[in-house]
Amino acid sequence: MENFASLLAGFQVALAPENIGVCLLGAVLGLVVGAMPGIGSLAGCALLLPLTYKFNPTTAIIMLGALYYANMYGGSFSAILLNIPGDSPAITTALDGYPMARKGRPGQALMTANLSSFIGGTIGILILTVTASGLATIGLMFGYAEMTIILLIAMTSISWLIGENPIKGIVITMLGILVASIGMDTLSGAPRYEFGNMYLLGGIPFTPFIIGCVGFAQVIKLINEREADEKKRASDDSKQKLSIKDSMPTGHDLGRMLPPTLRSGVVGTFVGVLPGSGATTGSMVGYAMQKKFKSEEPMGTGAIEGIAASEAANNAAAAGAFAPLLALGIPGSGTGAVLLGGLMMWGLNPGPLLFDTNPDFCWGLISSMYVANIFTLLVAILVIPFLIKILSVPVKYMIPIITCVCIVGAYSTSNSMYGVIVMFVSGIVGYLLDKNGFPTAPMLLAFVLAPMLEENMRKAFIASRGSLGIFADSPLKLVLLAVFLVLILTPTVKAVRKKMGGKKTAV
Amino acid sequence: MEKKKFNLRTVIPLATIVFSLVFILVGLKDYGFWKGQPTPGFFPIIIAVVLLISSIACFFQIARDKDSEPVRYNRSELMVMLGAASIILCTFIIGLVPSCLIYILLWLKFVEHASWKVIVIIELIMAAIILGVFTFWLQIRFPMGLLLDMIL
Repeated sequence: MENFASLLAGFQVALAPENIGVCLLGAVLGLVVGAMPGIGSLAGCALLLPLTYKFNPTTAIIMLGALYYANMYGGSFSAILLNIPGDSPAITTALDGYPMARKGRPGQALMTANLSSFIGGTIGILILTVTASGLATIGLMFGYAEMTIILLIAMTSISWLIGENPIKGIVITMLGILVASIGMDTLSGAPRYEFGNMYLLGGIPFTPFIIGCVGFAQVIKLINEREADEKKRASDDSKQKLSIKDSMPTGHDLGRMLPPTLRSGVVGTFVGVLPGSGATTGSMVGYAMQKKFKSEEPMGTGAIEGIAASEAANNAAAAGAFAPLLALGIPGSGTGAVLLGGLMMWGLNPGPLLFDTNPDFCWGLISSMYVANIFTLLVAILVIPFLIKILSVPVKYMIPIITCVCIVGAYSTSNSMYGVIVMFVSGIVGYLLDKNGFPTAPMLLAFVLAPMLEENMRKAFIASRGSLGIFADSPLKLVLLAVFLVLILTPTVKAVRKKMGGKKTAV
Repeated sequence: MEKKKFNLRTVIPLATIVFSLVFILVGLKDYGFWKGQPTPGFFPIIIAVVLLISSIACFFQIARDKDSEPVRYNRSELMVMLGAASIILCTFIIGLVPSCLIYILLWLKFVEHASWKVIVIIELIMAAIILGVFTFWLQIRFPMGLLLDMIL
């Protein structure tokens, strides 16, 4: 009950004219960025981060939150109409969305995606409303040692959930932590690893680093997609006309859509709460779960149930991911890491105390998600007749545009060419890592969480006078340690078993 | 005798091995590890040691993997990097905004062979974004470059 009273107070913040304006702007930008194949929510949030500097922290995060959220809607547009998922959470949407469009029902496929996204998202936000402050209360019980283990769990889980290779995940996570340790010592403020360079003394600036790793690296990769994009666009499928009236689903369609939407909405939210999982895992779990249930048409052949399950789950997961971000200061995904970095830049420290110290901010943000969900649904429906036009912007024209946005954005956040050079170098490093099968999202997460991890770990050691026993002297710490060990050992055991299985087959 | 080809995929773990060694050596020499309590070098040294061990494991894992396809780099990827590098270099001479607009024009005309109509539309949109959003709204003062500094 207390949560709903706080939520009502939050609506006073969310419904301020400025916040409604940025919420709508975030929704429109998110839909466009999400619909454009190849950009994605991570790069979208990173590229648009500089635009939020003018706002106060609440308004800024409302805009980015709406953008992230609308991105989940937008990703399905190109997945359904072009069979090119705008973002990775829409991969499973394409499996049924595109076949349904080819069956002559593209409008109904889009409308199913929009409505499922809305319902799934609403379920996610409702669960977030009920659980977030409770999670923060639990977080208040955590000391330095517990926080150290929780941060290690967050970093470990994302590294092996995202990549197929746990060793590469560890390498990339450690690399992110070391890059973050350049500049000044978090506790004493003494210079560290600056190698006599005055620019490095201030550390590696967050926004240019993120813009480079995800934005510029993405542009370099995008150039290889030009030809495939041209071929897709040349096909007749992408030249059909759409109208809102013709896109309306029938009562029978709604009946088929609702059960998978509700199921995936609940499951997706809990998947989103887990550190490292995010919307992509959410949509995959939702889609896989739907396969266990009966669908009117076989899954993968244009089943409404498949689109509904995938879209409801990814929007619910996007909302659920805000719970650990706000309550514990632990982002669930790469996009969450960008949002967390933004919060820190604006002087806010997400964590258990945030709900006490900045209730306006927390509840304003949660309330704004309800508003953003409604705005995004409206915009997503109204935009249907213009979708073909929006999606007709070829990838080849986006390359020089995004390159310039990366450079201008990196300069504007650092007011120095040093920021541009950091963006350029981190972009090339991000591209090389990706090319060699090293996922970059764990590096971003590690980069953002490293100062918090170091501070908690060192304070724990100071409190215990160097004894490792501080990490295992209570049942809670033992449980957390067990989770951490399971996360580390599971991939190793799996790899060993796979190897042994392979040898047996060979014999 | 067949010559063994160098596996390009091992470059990343080799680089991270060097990176971790630098952090361990500089950390031990300049920042210390423990003086009654953790010193500034404590945390990075632990992380660098984990990075070193995992990088060595990663190196051997990649070197032994004969099934993975070799990494292929192509010229167009390099062109994107050179394009961005040329904007950075030209910024010091003609300023950031003109560099970006000239780059867009050259890229669209000579790489993508776009029509003048498309080029003009994109140039206008980008000029509006850079000048409208960044210069006027966010009040960012972009570098003018040597030439414009001399003229103005």
